[in-house]
This record gives sequence, C-alpha cells and structure tokens, in this order.
Amino acid sequence: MKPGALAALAVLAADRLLAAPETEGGVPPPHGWIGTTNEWIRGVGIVMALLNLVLLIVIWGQLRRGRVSTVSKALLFGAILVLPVVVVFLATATGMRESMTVEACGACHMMDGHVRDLRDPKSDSLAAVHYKNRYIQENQCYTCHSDYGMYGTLSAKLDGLGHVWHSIRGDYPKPIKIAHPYSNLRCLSCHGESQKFLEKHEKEEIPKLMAGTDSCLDCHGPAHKPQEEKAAQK
Amino acid sequence: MRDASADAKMLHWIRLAIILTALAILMGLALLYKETPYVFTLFMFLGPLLVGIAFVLLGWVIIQELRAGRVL
Repeated sequence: MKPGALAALAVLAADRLLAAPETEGGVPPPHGWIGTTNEWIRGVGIVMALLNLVLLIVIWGQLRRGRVSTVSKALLFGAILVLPVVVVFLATATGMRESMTVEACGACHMMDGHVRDLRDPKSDSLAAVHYKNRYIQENQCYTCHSDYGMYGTLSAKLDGLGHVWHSIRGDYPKPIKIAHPYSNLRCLSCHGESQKFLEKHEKEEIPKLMAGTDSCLDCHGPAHKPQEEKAAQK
Repeated sequence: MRDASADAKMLHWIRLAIILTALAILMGLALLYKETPYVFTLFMFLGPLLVGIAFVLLGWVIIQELRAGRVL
C-alpha cells in the first residue's frame, strides 16, 4: 500500500475514533459522512503528532549510532520545524475551540453549581432558560460571557487564564462573583433587534440599556442560581 | 576540519532540540486527545516556547556547520 493511502486511512481511522459524542439527549450532532472540520483538525493533528514522534525517535536512533547523513539532517529539519509548527497550530485551534464548551467551564470545581443549574430543566434562571430551550445552540457559557470580535476572544481567553490561576491557588471568592459588571450589550446583541423585545420595551428605555445606566438584570433574572448555594440556604 | 569535541557539542545541541520538540509534541498530543483547561494553559505557555527554542538550537547548529565550511 502506498504511504499516501496509508496516511489517508490513518486520518479516517482517527476521525472515526474521535467522532463527536452524542449530545445529552442522545441526538448525534450533524456531521455528514466524513466528519466535521473540527474532527478533521483534531484527527490530522493527532496523526501529525504521532508521525513527528516517530521521526524524532528514528533520528535519535541515527544520532546514537553516529550515522548523521544528509537524509537524517533533512528529516531533522522536518521533525523540528515543519511538523511541530503544524501540530502546534492544530493543537492550538483544537484547544481554543474546546475551551469554549460548557464542559471546559465546568471542569473546575467551583463552577459545578453554575453548570448544574444551567442543565437543570426545573431551574428558571436566565442561564437555564437559555440552555433548556436551546436559545443558544452551543458553548452557552462562552456565548454570554465573552465579547465579540478578535479582542473579545482574546480578552475571554486572558480572563480564562486568570480563572485557571485562581483555581490552582484556590484564592477565588466564595460564592464566586462575576469580576466586572455584566454588559447589557451582550444581551442586546441577540435580543436587541427582535420584535418581541421592541414590542415589550419603551423606546426611551433602549438608550438607557445601551448606555448601561439601567441593567437588563434589574427586571430579568437572576442570571444564575448556583445549586450549592440553594442547598446551603435550605 | 573540526575536532571531535565540536562534533560532540553539535550532537548535544541536536539531542536537546529533539527532547524539547518531543515534550512540546507530547503536550500537543494530550491536548488534541482530551482538552482540559490545565493542559490547554500548559500547552499555550510551553508548547510554542519549546518548539521555538528547539528551532533556535537547530538553527545554531546549522550556522556552526556552515561556518565550518561543511555542506549540509
């Protein structure tokens, strides 16, 4: 079998292996007959990383035997520059995407209560209502807690870095609170243009919401009902 | 003609570059297989840094070989 065909088979096998899991309701996400772009990025990344490790081991063996040929120097260039750049790029893309998921936010112990509330069909918090009705299709935490555009993404990632740091040190406030006042613009970016919103809000109210003098949470909410707090109150 | 100690030094740098690259790739592999916030943070800090250092080491060896008048 030709190496190209072998590589294609390996990528397809990785793609099958890494196929997106079924959602909580048991409904598989739509991903066509050959997988999604994200599955391919992950699958190709794993294949490239394994190939890179194999190449490094081969070169290491050649160095130990003292046989440093022109071919091994070319392999060295590929294994230390070309493939690692590809792997770093694909791993970063995967990491960035996966860190937006609810699972990533819920991975830290202090977020358990928020995630439990989010997924509780009986909860009437804003987060739970948006989640159970699928007003937001995926990455529900990230969608509401990041601003838009490239700066918004970078800012959210830097905040996330701070969260990891505080999680490691355990010096976060209990119960945890949002670091900055929640911007109405994040609500209005979805709701602002809808007929339902325009019909139910006075025209004079909208500039106040845009300017942040009034908060959406003054009338709607609460945004979260962390379930540990509820248990503690009982 | 270079002496054996210079060659041994070059091999030492190449081995170090291989180890650093392997560490970065292993971290990348862990992230690609199963993402956790801790692995992601570790990779974002160390992955590109280790690959960058490995590349600089390789570049250094190449420059030394070129200076010694040897064809790569």
